[in-house]
Amino acid sequence: MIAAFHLFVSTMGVHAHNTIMRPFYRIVLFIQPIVITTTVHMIYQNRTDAYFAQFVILGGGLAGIWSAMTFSTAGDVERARLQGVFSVLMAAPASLGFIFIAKIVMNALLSLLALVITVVYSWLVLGVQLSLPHPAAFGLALLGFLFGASGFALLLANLFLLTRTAWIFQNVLESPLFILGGVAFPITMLPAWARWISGALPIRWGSEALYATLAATPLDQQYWQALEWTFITGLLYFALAQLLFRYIEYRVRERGNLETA
Amino acid sequence: MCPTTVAVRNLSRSYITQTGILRRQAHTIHALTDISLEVQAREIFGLIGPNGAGKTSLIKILTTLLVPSAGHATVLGFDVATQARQIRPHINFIFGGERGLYWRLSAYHNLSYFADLYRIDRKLAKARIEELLTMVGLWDRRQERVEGFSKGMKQRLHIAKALINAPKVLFLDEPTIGLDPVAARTLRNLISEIRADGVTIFLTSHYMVEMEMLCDRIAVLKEGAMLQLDTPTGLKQLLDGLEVVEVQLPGTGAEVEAQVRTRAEVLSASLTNSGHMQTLTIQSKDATATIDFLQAQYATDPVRLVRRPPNLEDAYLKLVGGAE
Repeated sequence: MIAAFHLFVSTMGVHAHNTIMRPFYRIVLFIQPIVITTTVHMIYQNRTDAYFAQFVILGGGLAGIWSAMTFSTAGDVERARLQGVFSVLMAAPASLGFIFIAKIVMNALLSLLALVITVVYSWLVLGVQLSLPHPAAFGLALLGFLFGASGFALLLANLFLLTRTAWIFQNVLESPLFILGGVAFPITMLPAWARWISGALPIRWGSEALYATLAATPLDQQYWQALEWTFITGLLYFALAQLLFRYIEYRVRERGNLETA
Repeated sequence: MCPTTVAVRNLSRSYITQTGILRRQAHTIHALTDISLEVQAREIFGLIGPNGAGKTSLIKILTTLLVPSAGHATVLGFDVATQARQIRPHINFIFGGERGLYWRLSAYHNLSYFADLYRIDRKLAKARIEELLTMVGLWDRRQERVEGFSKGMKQRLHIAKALINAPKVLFLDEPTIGLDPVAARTLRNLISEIRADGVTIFLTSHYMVEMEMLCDRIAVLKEGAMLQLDTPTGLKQLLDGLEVVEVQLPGTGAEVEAQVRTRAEVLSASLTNSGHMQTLTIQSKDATATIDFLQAQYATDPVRLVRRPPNLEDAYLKLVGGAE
Protein backbone atom coordinates (compact mmCIF):
# COMPACT_ATOMS: atom_id res chain seq x y z
CA MET A 1 0.00 0.00 0.00
CA ILE A 2 2.83 2.38 0.96
CA ALA A 3 4.79 1.33 -2.14
CA ALA A 4 1.70 2.06 -4.28
CA PHE A 5 1.36 5.49 -2.68
CA HIS A 6 5.06 6.22 -3.31
CA LEU A 7 4.71 5.16 -6.92
CA PHE A 8 1.60 7.31 -7.36
CA VAL A 9 3.30 10.39 -5.94
CA SER A 10 6.58 9.88 -7.77
CA THR A 11 4.77 9.26 -11.08
CA MET A 12 2.94 12.55 -10.56
CA GLY A 13 6.25 14.27 -9.84
CA VAL A 14 8.06 12.82 -12.86
CA HIS A 15 5.09 13.63 -15.05
CA ALA A 16 4.86 17.23 -13.84
CA HIS A 17 8.59 17.68 -14.35
CA ASN A 18 8.57 16.28 -17.87
CA THR A 19 5.39 18.12 -18.86
CA ILE A 20 6.28 21.56 -17.63
CA MET A 21 9.69 21.36 -19.29
CA ARG A 22 8.06 21.20 -22.71
CA PRO A 23 7.70 24.63 -24.37
CA PHE A 24 4.69 23.49 -26.42
CA TYR A 25 2.81 22.44 -23.30
CA ARG A 26 3.54 25.80 -21.70
CA ILE A 27 1.95 27.46 -24.72
CA VAL A 28 -1.13 25.24 -24.40
CA LEU A 29 -1.35 25.89 -20.68
CA PHE A 30 -0.58 29.61 -20.58
CA ILE A 31 -1.43 31.03 -24.02
CA GLN A 32 -4.34 28.90 -25.23
CA PRO A 33 -6.74 29.94 -22.42
CA ILE A 34 -6.08 33.58 -23.31
CA VAL A 35 -6.74 32.95 -27.02
CA ILE A 36 -9.94 31.00 -26.30
CA THR A 37 -11.17 33.55 -23.77
CA THR A 38 -10.54 36.41 -26.19
CA THR A 39 -12.39 34.55 -28.96
CA VAL A 40 -15.37 33.73 -26.76
CA HIS A 41 -15.38 37.32 -25.50
CA MET A 42 -15.65 38.59 -29.07
CA ILE A 43 -18.51 36.18 -29.79
CA TYR A 44 -20.53 37.17 -26.72
CA GLN A 45 -19.59 40.83 -26.29
CA ASN A 46 -22.91 42.17 -27.65
CA ARG A 47 -24.93 40.16 -25.19
CA THR A 48 -25.98 41.65 -21.91
CA ASP A 49 -27.45 38.56 -20.26
CA ALA A 50 -25.83 36.28 -17.73
CA TYR A 51 -24.28 34.13 -20.45
CA PHE A 52 -21.72 36.79 -21.10
CA ALA A 53 -19.58 36.50 -17.98
CA GLN A 54 -20.29 32.81 -17.64
CA PHE A 55 -19.13 31.75 -21.03
CA VAL A 56 -16.26 34.17 -21.33
CA ILE A 57 -14.58 33.29 -18.08
CA LEU A 58 -15.72 29.81 -17.25
CA GLY A 59 -15.89 28.72 -20.90
CA GLY A 60 -12.38 29.94 -21.59
CA GLY A 61 -11.07 28.34 -18.42
CA LEU A 62 -12.75 24.98 -18.90
CA ALA A 63 -11.70 24.83 -22.54
CA GLY A 64 -8.16 25.52 -21.36
CA ILE A 65 -8.39 22.69 -18.83
CA TRP A 66 -9.70 20.31 -21.47
CA SER A 67 -7.01 21.28 -24.02
CA ALA A 68 -4.22 20.93 -21.49
CA MET A 69 -5.49 17.53 -20.40
CA THR A 70 -5.92 16.01 -23.86
CA PHE A 71 -2.71 17.59 -25.11
CA SER A 72 -0.74 16.35 -22.16
CA THR A 73 -2.18 12.83 -22.29
CA ALA A 74 -1.47 12.41 -26.00
CA GLY A 75 1.88 14.15 -25.65
CA ASP A 76 2.89 11.92 -22.79
CA VAL A 77 2.10 8.74 -24.70
CA GLU A 78 3.96 10.05 -27.74
CA ARG A 79 6.96 11.18 -25.70
CA ALA A 80 7.18 7.87 -23.85
CA ARG A 81 7.27 6.11 -27.24
CA LEU A 82 10.00 8.37 -28.59
CA GLN A 83 12.11 8.18 -25.43
CA GLY A 84 11.75 4.41 -25.30
CA VAL A 85 10.46 4.49 -21.72
CA PHE A 86 7.22 2.75 -22.60
CA SER A 87 8.93 -0.61 -22.60
CA VAL A 88 10.37 0.23 -19.18
CA LEU A 89 6.94 1.16 -17.81
CA MET A 90 5.20 -1.80 -19.35
CA ALA A 91 7.76 -4.37 -18.25
CA ALA A 92 7.70 -3.10 -14.66
CA PRO A 93 5.55 -4.90 -12.08
CA ALA A 94 3.39 -1.78 -11.57
CA SER A 95 0.14 -1.69 -13.55
CA LEU A 96 0.19 0.59 -16.55
CA GLY A 97 -3.38 1.69 -15.75
CA PHE A 98 -2.29 2.79 -12.28
CA ILE A 99 0.63 4.77 -13.70
CA PHE A 100 -1.68 6.49 -16.16
CA ILE A 101 -4.13 7.45 -13.41
CA ALA A 102 -1.29 9.17 -11.54
CA LYS A 103 -0.24 11.00 -14.70
CA ILE A 104 -3.78 12.12 -15.45
CA VAL A 105 -4.43 13.31 -11.91
CA MET A 106 -1.29 15.45 -12.28
CA ASN A 107 -2.57 16.67 -15.64
CA ALA A 108 -5.82 17.71 -13.98
CA LEU A 109 -4.00 19.62 -11.24
CA LEU A 110 -1.69 21.35 -13.72
CA SER A 111 -4.57 22.23 -16.01
CA LEU A 112 -6.27 24.15 -13.19
CA LEU A 113 -3.71 26.83 -13.95
CA ALA A 114 -5.60 27.43 -17.20
CA LEU A 115 -8.70 28.40 -15.21
CA VAL A 116 -6.69 30.68 -12.94
CA ILE A 117 -5.09 32.38 -15.95
CA THR A 118 -8.51 32.86 -17.58
CA VAL A 119 -10.03 34.41 -14.46
CA VAL A 120 -7.09 36.80 -14.01
CA TYR A 121 -6.91 37.70 -17.72
CA SER A 122 -10.68 38.31 -17.96
CA TRP A 123 -10.61 40.53 -14.91
CA LEU A 124 -7.46 42.52 -15.72
CA VAL A 125 -7.64 42.73 -19.52
CA LEU A 126 -11.27 42.23 -20.53
CA GLY A 127 -12.77 43.82 -17.44
CA VAL A 128 -15.09 40.88 -16.84
CA GLN A 129 -15.31 39.49 -13.34
CA LEU A 130 -16.46 36.08 -12.21
CA SER A 131 -18.80 36.22 -9.25
CA LEU A 132 -19.34 33.07 -7.23
CA PRO A 133 -22.58 33.17 -5.28
CA HIS A 134 -22.12 29.50 -4.28
CA PRO A 135 -18.39 28.99 -3.79
CA ALA A 136 -18.65 25.57 -2.10
CA ALA A 137 -20.97 24.24 -4.80
CA PHE A 138 -18.64 25.71 -7.42
CA GLY A 139 -15.66 23.93 -5.83
CA LEU A 140 -17.55 20.65 -5.77
CA ALA A 141 -18.62 21.05 -9.41
CA LEU A 142 -15.04 21.91 -10.41
CA LEU A 143 -13.84 18.76 -8.67
CA GLY A 144 -16.53 16.84 -10.56
CA PHE A 145 -15.43 18.39 -13.86
CA LEU A 146 -11.81 17.44 -13.23
CA PHE A 147 -12.83 13.95 -12.17
CA GLY A 148 -14.98 13.47 -15.28
CA ALA A 149 -12.34 14.95 -17.58
CA SER A 150 -9.74 12.65 -16.00
CA GLY A 151 -11.92 9.58 -16.60
CA PHE A 152 -12.35 10.61 -20.20
CA ALA A 153 -8.63 11.35 -20.64
CA LEU A 154 -7.81 7.93 -19.23
CA LEU A 155 -10.01 6.34 -21.85
CA LEU A 156 -8.28 8.44 -24.52
CA ALA A 157 -4.91 7.24 -23.21
CA ASN A 158 -6.02 3.70 -24.11
CA LEU A 159 -6.71 4.80 -27.65
CA PHE A 160 -3.40 6.65 -27.82
CA LEU A 161 -1.59 3.50 -26.64
CA LEU A 162 -3.01 1.44 -29.45
CA THR A 163 -1.98 3.80 -32.19
CA ARG A 164 1.35 5.35 -33.09
CA THR A 165 -0.45 8.47 -34.29
CA ALA A 166 -1.82 9.73 -30.99
CA TRP A 167 -1.28 13.32 -32.13
CA ILE A 168 -3.74 13.00 -34.99
CA PHE A 169 -6.45 11.69 -32.66
CA GLN A 170 -5.73 14.39 -30.14
CA ASN A 171 -6.11 17.11 -32.76
CA VAL A 172 -9.18 15.54 -34.35
CA LEU A 173 -10.95 14.97 -31.04
CA GLU A 174 -10.16 18.17 -29.21
CA SER A 175 -12.58 20.61 -30.89
CA PRO A 176 -15.64 18.34 -31.33
CA LEU A 177 -15.46 17.31 -27.68
CA PHE A 178 -15.02 20.90 -26.72
CA ILE A 179 -18.29 21.78 -28.48
CA LEU A 180 -20.18 18.63 -27.45
CA GLY A 181 -19.02 19.12 -23.87
CA GLY A 182 -20.91 22.41 -23.65
CA VAL A 183 -17.74 23.98 -22.39
CA ALA A 184 -17.84 27.32 -24.16
CA PHE A 185 -21.28 27.23 -25.82
CA PRO A 186 -24.65 26.19 -24.39
CA ILE A 187 -25.71 22.66 -25.30
CA THR A 188 -29.09 24.10 -26.36
CA MET A 189 -27.37 25.50 -29.44
CA LEU A 190 -26.66 21.96 -30.68
CA PRO A 191 -29.05 19.80 -32.75
CA ALA A 192 -31.00 17.15 -30.82
CA TRP A 193 -28.87 14.21 -32.00
CA ALA A 194 -25.70 15.95 -30.90
CA ARG A 195 -27.20 16.56 -27.47
CA TRP A 196 -27.62 12.81 -27.08
CA ILE A 197 -23.92 12.25 -27.73
CA SER A 198 -23.13 15.11 -25.42
CA GLY A 199 -25.02 13.35 -22.63
CA ALA A 200 -22.40 10.58 -22.61
CA LEU A 201 -19.59 13.03 -21.88
CA PRO A 202 -18.73 13.75 -18.25
CA ILE A 203 -17.36 17.19 -19.14
CA ARG A 204 -20.82 18.19 -20.45
CA TRP A 205 -22.39 17.42 -17.03
CA GLY A 206 -19.46 18.95 -15.21
CA SER A 207 -19.68 22.20 -17.12
CA GLU A 208 -23.48 22.25 -16.66
CA ALA A 209 -23.04 21.88 -12.90
CA LEU A 210 -20.44 24.63 -12.88
CA TYR A 211 -22.63 27.04 -14.86
CA ALA A 212 -25.54 26.30 -12.53
CA THR A 213 -23.52 27.63 -9.58
CA LEU A 214 -23.09 31.03 -11.22
CA ALA A 215 -26.74 32.04 -10.87
CA ALA A 216 -27.47 34.14 -7.80
CA THR A 217 -30.67 32.17 -7.19
CA PRO A 218 -30.63 29.18 -4.80
CA LEU A 219 -29.18 25.98 -6.26
CA ASP A 220 -31.85 23.96 -8.00
CA GLN A 221 -32.38 20.38 -9.04
CA GLN A 222 -30.43 20.98 -12.27
CA TYR A 223 -27.18 21.49 -10.34
CA TRP A 224 -27.50 18.33 -8.29
CA GLN A 225 -28.58 16.28 -11.25
CA ALA A 226 -25.70 17.53 -13.39
CA LEU A 227 -23.26 16.88 -10.54
CA GLU A 228 -24.59 13.38 -10.10
CA TRP A 229 -24.19 12.63 -13.78
CA THR A 230 -20.69 14.09 -13.78
CA PHE A 231 -19.55 11.61 -11.17
CA ILE A 232 -21.55 8.70 -12.63
CA THR A 233 -20.21 9.17 -16.17
CA GLY A 234 -16.72 9.95 -14.86
CA LEU A 235 -16.71 6.77 -12.79
CA LEU A 236 -17.95 4.78 -15.77
CA TYR A 237 -15.11 6.09 -17.90
CA PHE A 238 -12.57 5.28 -15.19
CA ALA A 239 -13.93 1.74 -14.85
CA LEU A 240 -14.08 1.23 -18.62
CA ALA A 241 -10.54 2.59 -19.04
CA GLN A 242 -9.17 0.28 -16.34
CA LEU A 243 -10.89 -2.71 -17.90
CA LEU A 244 -9.61 -1.74 -21.31
CA PHE A 245 -6.03 -1.28 -20.08
CA ARG A 246 -5.63 -5.02 -19.55
CA TYR A 247 -6.98 -5.76 -23.01
CA ILE A 248 -5.04 -2.96 -24.70
CA GLU A 249 -1.81 -4.00 -23.00
CA TYR A 250 -2.21 -7.49 -24.41
CA ARG A 251 -3.10 -6.09 -27.86
CA VAL A 252 -0.03 -3.87 -27.81
CA ARG A 253 2.13 -6.89 -26.96
CA GLU A 254 0.44 -8.82 -29.73
CA ARG A 255 0.78 -6.12 -32.37
CA GLY A 256 4.27 -5.08 -31.35
CA ASN A 257 3.54 -1.34 -31.66
CA LEU A 258 4.78 -0.27 -28.28
CA GLU A 259 7.72 1.69 -29.58
CA THR A 260 8.43 3.74 -32.64
CA ALA A 261 11.76 2.02 -33.20
CA MET B 1 22.98 -29.36 -12.61
CA CYS B 2 21.69 -25.78 -12.62
CA PRO B 3 17.93 -25.25 -12.90
CA THR B 4 16.49 -24.05 -16.19
CA THR B 5 15.83 -20.31 -16.07
CA VAL B 6 14.58 -19.73 -19.59
CA ALA B 7 12.87 -22.39 -21.70
CA VAL B 8 11.73 -21.72 -25.26
CA ARG B 9 9.74 -24.31 -27.20
CA ASN B 10 8.95 -24.07 -30.92
CA LEU B 11 8.57 -20.32 -30.62
CA SER B 12 7.48 -18.27 -33.61
CA ARG B 13 6.67 -14.63 -33.96
CA SER B 14 5.33 -12.79 -36.98
CA TYR B 15 4.35 -9.19 -37.57
CA ILE B 16 1.74 -7.86 -39.94
CA THR B 17 2.72 -4.71 -41.78
CA GLN B 18 0.70 -2.76 -44.29
CA THR B 19 1.74 -0.98 -47.45
CA GLY B 20 -0.08 1.42 -49.76
CA ILE B 21 -2.47 4.25 -49.00
CA LEU B 22 -5.56 3.65 -51.11
CA ARG B 23 -5.06 -0.04 -51.76
CA ARG B 24 -3.65 -1.22 -48.51
CA GLN B 25 -1.99 -4.59 -48.53
CA ALA B 26 -1.07 -6.62 -45.49
CA HIS B 27 2.26 -8.44 -45.39
CA THR B 28 3.37 -10.95 -42.82
CA ILE B 29 6.95 -10.81 -41.66
CA HIS B 30 8.25 -13.89 -39.88
CA ALA B 31 10.64 -12.55 -37.27
CA LEU B 32 11.16 -15.89 -35.49
CA THR B 33 10.45 -19.41 -36.70
CA ASP B 34 10.31 -22.50 -34.52
CA ILE B 35 12.98 -21.52 -31.99
CA SER B 36 13.74 -23.91 -29.12
CA LEU B 37 16.40 -23.40 -26.46
CA GLU B 38 17.06 -23.62 -22.74
CA VAL B 39 19.17 -21.34 -20.59
CA GLN B 40 20.46 -22.51 -17.21
CA ALA B 41 20.76 -20.39 -14.07
CA ARG B 42 23.92 -18.22 -13.87
CA GLU B 43 24.68 -18.76 -17.54
CA ILE B 44 25.63 -15.99 -19.95
CA PHE B 45 23.73 -16.95 -23.04
CA GLY B 46 24.56 -15.15 -26.28
CA LEU B 47 22.47 -14.46 -29.35
CA ILE B 48 24.22 -13.46 -32.54
CA GLY B 49 22.98 -12.90 -36.05
CA PRO B 50 22.70 -10.24 -38.73
CA ASN B 51 20.31 -7.29 -38.38
CA GLY B 52 16.74 -8.55 -38.67
CA ALA B 53 17.69 -12.06 -37.52
CA GLY B 54 15.11 -11.93 -34.71
CA LYS B 55 17.39 -11.36 -31.70
CA THR B 56 15.49 -8.34 -30.37
CA SER B 57 12.12 -9.99 -31.02
CA LEU B 58 13.19 -12.99 -28.95
CA ILE B 59 14.38 -10.75 -26.12
CA LYS B 60 11.17 -8.71 -26.24
CA ILE B 61 9.11 -11.90 -25.95
CA LEU B 62 11.17 -13.11 -23.00
CA THR B 63 10.86 -9.73 -21.28
CA THR B 64 7.03 -9.92 -21.71
CA LEU B 65 6.89 -6.96 -24.10
CA LEU B 66 5.67 -9.11 -26.97
CA VAL B 67 3.59 -12.27 -27.06
CA PRO B 68 4.60 -15.19 -29.27
CA SER B 69 2.54 -15.97 -32.37
CA ALA B 70 3.07 -19.69 -31.81
CA GLY B 71 4.91 -21.97 -29.39
CA HIS B 72 5.65 -20.90 -25.86
CA ALA B 73 8.37 -19.67 -23.57
CA THR B 74 8.86 -19.62 -19.83
CA VAL B 75 11.08 -17.46 -17.66
CA LEU B 76 11.69 -18.72 -14.11
CA GLY B 77 8.93 -21.24 -14.75
CA PHE B 78 6.25 -18.67 -15.69
CA ASP B 79 4.69 -18.40 -19.12
CA VAL B 80 5.69 -15.15 -20.86
CA ALA B 81 2.33 -14.69 -22.54
CA THR B 82 -0.05 -15.38 -19.67
CA GLN B 83 2.01 -14.91 -16.49
CA ALA B 84 3.83 -11.69 -17.26
CA ARG B 85 2.96 -10.23 -13.86
CA GLN B 86 4.79 -13.03 -12.06
CA ILE B 87 7.87 -12.65 -14.26
CA ARG B 88 8.29 -8.86 -14.26
CA PRO B 89 9.50 -8.31 -10.68
CA HIS B 90 12.38 -10.76 -11.24
CA ILE B 91 13.79 -9.64 -14.58
CA ASN B 92 15.19 -6.50 -16.12
CA PHE B 93 16.66 -5.47 -19.44
CA ILE B 94 18.68 -3.02 -21.49
CA PHE B 95 17.93 -2.31 -25.10
CA GLY B 96 20.99 -0.88 -26.80
CA GLY B 97 21.22 2.82 -27.52
CA GLU B 98 20.36 5.84 -25.46
CA ARG B 99 16.59 5.45 -25.17
CA GLY B 100 14.77 4.15 -22.12
CA LEU B 101 15.76 6.87 -19.66
CA TYR B 102 14.09 10.14 -18.65
CA TRP B 103 16.54 12.61 -20.15
CA ARG B 104 15.24 15.59 -18.27
CA LEU B 105 15.67 13.96 -14.90
CA SER B 106 18.92 13.47 -13.03
CA ALA B 107 20.59 10.07 -12.85
CA TYR B 108 19.49 9.77 -9.21
CA HIS B 109 15.90 10.79 -9.95
CA ASN B 110 15.74 8.24 -12.80
CA LEU B 111 16.84 5.43 -10.51
CA SER B 112 14.59 6.47 -7.64
CA TYR B 113 11.59 6.46 -10.00
CA PHE B 114 12.56 3.06 -11.42
CA ALA B 115 12.89 1.78 -7.84
CA ASP B 116 9.32 2.95 -7.17
CA LEU B 117 8.14 1.20 -10.34
CA TYR B 118 9.55 -2.04 -8.90
CA ARG B 119 7.94 -1.28 -5.51
CA ILE B 120 11.26 -1.31 -3.71
CA ASP B 121 11.17 -0.07 -0.14
CA ARG B 122 12.43 3.54 -0.03
CA LYS B 123 15.14 2.85 2.56
CA LEU B 124 16.44 -0.14 0.62
CA ALA B 125 16.18 1.79 -2.66
CA LYS B 126 18.28 4.64 -1.28
CA ALA B 127 21.10 2.26 -0.33
CA ARG B 128 20.85 0.37 -3.62
CA ILE B 129 20.92 3.53 -5.74
CA GLU B 130 24.08 4.66 -3.99
CA GLU B 131 25.64 1.23 -4.42
CA LEU B 132 24.71 0.99 -8.11
CA LEU B 133 25.71 4.53 -9.04
CA THR B 134 29.04 3.97 -7.32
CA MET B 135 29.48 0.66 -9.14
CA VAL B 136 28.91 2.28 -12.56
CA GLY B 137 31.03 5.30 -11.64
CA LEU B 138 28.23 7.88 -11.71
CA TRP B 139 27.80 8.68 -8.03
CA ASP B 140 29.61 12.02 -8.36
CA ARG B 141 27.41 12.97 -11.31
CA ARG B 142 24.14 11.75 -9.75
CA GLN B 143 22.44 15.16 -9.64
CA GLU B 144 23.15 15.99 -13.30
CA ARG B 145 20.48 15.66 -15.93
CA VAL B 146 20.80 12.60 -18.16
CA GLU B 147 20.54 14.72 -21.33
CA GLY B 148 24.04 16.02 -20.63
CA PHE B 149 25.56 12.55 -20.28
CA SER B 150 27.83 10.94 -22.87
CA LYS B 151 26.74 7.72 -24.57
CA GLY B 152 28.96 5.67 -22.26
CA MET B 153 27.52 7.33 -19.16
CA LYS B 154 23.99 6.68 -20.37
CA GLN B 155 24.84 3.03 -20.98
CA ARG B 156 26.31 2.73 -17.50
CA LEU B 157 23.16 4.32 -16.08
CA HIS B 158 21.16 1.75 -18.06
CA ILE B 159 23.13 -0.98 -16.29
CA ALA B 160 22.36 0.57 -12.91
CA LYS B 161 18.69 0.88 -13.90
CA ALA B 162 18.61 -2.75 -14.98
CA LEU B 163 19.98 -3.89 -11.62
CA ILE B 164 17.70 -1.76 -9.45
CA ASN B 165 15.39 -4.69 -8.67
CA ALA B 166 18.25 -7.19 -8.18
CA PRO B 167 16.95 -9.27 -11.11
CA LYS B 168 17.43 -13.01 -11.40
CA VAL B 169 17.53 -12.76 -15.19
CA LEU B 170 19.01 -9.85 -17.09
CA PHE B 171 18.46 -9.26 -20.81
CA LEU B 172 21.10 -7.14 -22.51
CA ASP B 173 20.39 -6.27 -26.13
CA GLU B 174 23.54 -4.78 -27.66
CA PRO B 175 24.60 -3.03 -24.45
CA THR B 176 27.96 -1.87 -25.84
CA ILE B 177 26.64 -0.46 -29.11
CA GLY B 178 28.31 2.83 -30.00
CA LEU B 179 30.65 2.82 -27.01
CA ASP B 180 34.33 3.68 -27.23
CA PRO B 181 36.74 0.80 -26.45
CA VAL B 182 37.39 1.89 -22.87
CA ALA B 183 33.68 2.30 -22.05
CA ALA B 184 32.91 -1.04 -23.74
CA ARG B 185 35.59 -2.77 -21.67
CA THR B 186 34.21 -1.23 -18.46
CA LEU B 187 30.76 -2.51 -19.39
CA ARG B 188 32.09 -5.98 -20.17
CA ASN B 189 33.76 -6.09 -16.76
CA LEU B 190 30.47 -5.05 -15.18
CA ILE B 191 28.66 -7.86 -16.99
CA SER B 192 31.17 -10.39 -15.65
CA GLU B 193 30.71 -9.02 -12.13
CA ILE B 194 26.93 -9.25 -12.43
CA ARG B 195 27.15 -12.89 -13.47
CA ALA B 196 29.47 -13.56 -10.54
CA ASP B 197 26.60 -12.35 -8.33
CA GLY B 198 24.45 -15.23 -9.63
CA VAL B 199 22.43 -13.44 -12.32
CA THR B 200 21.49 -15.29 -15.52
CA ILE B 201 22.31 -13.10 -18.51
CA PHE B 202 20.90 -13.08 -22.00
CA LEU B 203 23.24 -11.10 -24.23
CA THR B 204 23.19 -9.95 -27.85
CA SER B 205 25.95 -8.10 -29.62
CA HIS B 206 27.54 -7.70 -33.03
CA TYR B 207 31.00 -7.67 -31.46
CA MET B 208 32.21 -11.25 -31.74
CA VAL B 209 35.28 -10.76 -29.55
CA GLU B 210 32.98 -9.59 -26.78
CA MET B 211 30.63 -12.55 -27.24
CA GLU B 212 33.50 -15.03 -27.28
CA MET B 213 34.91 -13.46 -24.14
CA LEU B 214 31.66 -13.37 -22.14
CA CYS B 215 29.28 -16.11 -23.27
CA ASP B 216 29.03 -19.70 -22.05
CA ARG B 217 26.88 -20.65 -25.04
CA ILE B 218 25.80 -18.84 -28.16
CA ALA B 219 22.84 -19.28 -30.50
CA VAL B 220 23.29 -18.11 -34.09
CA LEU B 221 20.11 -16.74 -35.68
CA LYS B 222 19.45 -15.85 -39.27
CA GLU B 223 16.14 -14.71 -40.75
CA GLY B 224 14.31 -15.83 -37.65
CA ALA B 225 15.67 -19.36 -37.60
CA MET B 226 18.28 -20.81 -35.27
CA LEU B 227 21.25 -22.07 -37.28
CA GLN B 228 23.45 -23.34 -34.45
CA LEU B 229 23.64 -23.43 -30.67
CA ASP B 230 26.94 -24.24 -29.01
CA THR B 231 29.77 -22.99 -26.83
CA PRO B 232 32.14 -20.48 -28.49
CA THR B 233 34.73 -23.28 -28.70
CA GLY B 234 32.14 -25.61 -30.24
CA LEU B 235 31.22 -22.98 -32.82
CA LYS B 236 34.87 -22.48 -33.73
CA GLN B 237 35.22 -26.22 -34.22
CA LEU B 238 32.90 -25.86 -37.20
CA LEU B 239 36.06 -24.64 -38.89
CA ASP B 240 38.22 -27.57 -37.74
CA GLY B 241 41.17 -28.22 -40.07
CA LEU B 242 40.98 -24.70 -41.45
CA GLU B 243 43.26 -21.73 -40.98
CA VAL B 244 42.55 -18.10 -41.68
CA VAL B 245 44.76 -15.88 -43.79
CA GLU B 246 44.19 -12.12 -43.58
CA VAL B 247 45.73 -9.86 -46.20
CA GLN B 248 45.80 -6.06 -46.10
CA LEU B 249 45.44 -4.71 -49.64
CA PRO B 250 45.72 -1.14 -50.91
CA GLY B 251 42.17 -0.98 -52.34
CA THR B 252 42.63 -3.44 -55.21
CA GLY B 253 41.27 -6.59 -53.62
CA ALA B 254 38.26 -7.49 -55.78
CA GLU B 255 40.28 -9.11 -58.54
CA VAL B 256 42.52 -11.05 -56.14
CA GLU B 257 39.48 -12.13 -54.15
CA ALA B 258 37.92 -13.60 -57.31
CA GLN B 259 41.14 -15.48 -58.08
CA VAL B 260 41.53 -16.78 -54.53
CA ARG B 261 37.98 -18.12 -54.53
CA THR B 262 38.78 -20.41 -57.46
CA ARG B 263 41.60 -22.16 -55.62
CA ALA B 264 40.92 -25.71 -54.43
CA GLU B 265 42.17 -25.23 -50.84
CA VAL B 266 40.09 -22.09 -50.23
CA LEU B 267 36.76 -22.59 -48.51
CA SER B 268 35.65 -18.95 -48.47
CA ALA B 269 36.94 -15.43 -48.96
CA SER B 270 35.49 -12.08 -47.98
CA LEU B 271 36.63 -8.55 -48.61
CA THR B 272 35.98 -5.71 -46.18
CA ASN B 273 36.86 -2.04 -46.47
CA SER B 274 38.69 -0.28 -43.66
CA GLY B 275 39.50 3.30 -44.60
CA HIS B 276 41.61 3.40 -47.76
CA MET B 277 42.72 -0.21 -47.22
CA GLN B 278 40.88 -3.47 -47.81
CA THR B 279 41.14 -6.66 -45.79
CA LEU B 280 40.78 -9.99 -47.56
CA THR B 281 39.90 -12.76 -45.10
CA ILE B 282 40.42 -16.28 -46.45
CA GLN B 283 39.46 -19.57 -44.82
CA SER B 284 41.86 -22.13 -46.19
CA LYS B 285 42.51 -25.86 -45.79
CA ASP B 286 46.15 -25.26 -46.76
CA ALA B 287 47.23 -21.83 -45.56
CA THR B 288 50.83 -22.31 -46.79
CA ALA B 289 49.63 -22.81 -50.37
CA THR B 290 47.30 -19.81 -50.14
CA ILE B 291 50.08 -17.60 -48.74
CA ASP B 292 52.48 -18.73 -51.48
CA PHE B 293 49.89 -17.81 -54.08
CA LEU B 294 49.30 -14.36 -52.55
CA GLN B 295 53.02 -13.65 -52.22
CA ALA B 296 53.46 -14.52 -55.89
CA GLN B 297 50.62 -12.16 -56.80
CA TYR B 298 52.22 -9.32 -54.85
CA ALA B 299 55.88 -10.18 -55.50
CA THR B 300 56.79 -6.63 -56.60
CA ASP B 301 54.62 -4.89 -54.01
CA PRO B 302 54.61 -6.96 -50.77
CA VAL B 303 51.45 -6.93 -48.64
CA ARG B 304 50.91 -7.58 -44.94
CA LEU B 305 49.82 -11.17 -44.27
CA VAL B 306 48.54 -12.71 -41.04
CA ARG B 307 48.03 -16.41 -40.52
CA ARG B 308 45.89 -17.37 -37.52
CA PRO B 309 43.52 -20.03 -36.19
CA PRO B 310 39.77 -19.37 -36.81
CA ASN B 311 37.88 -17.23 -34.27
CA LEU B 312 34.19 -16.83 -33.50
CA GLU B 313 33.74 -14.24 -36.23
CA ASP B 314 35.02 -16.74 -38.81
CA ALA B 315 32.54 -19.33 -37.55
CA TYR B 316 29.78 -16.71 -37.63
CA LEU B 317 30.62 -15.72 -41.20
CA LYS B 318 30.61 -19.35 -42.27
CA LEU B 319 27.20 -19.92 -40.63
CA VAL B 320 25.36 -16.82 -41.78
CA GLY B 321 26.88 -16.89 -45.23
CA GLY B 322 28.83 -13.65 -45.14
CA ALA B 323 31.89 -15.39 -46.47
CA GLU B 324 30.43 -17.09 -49.52
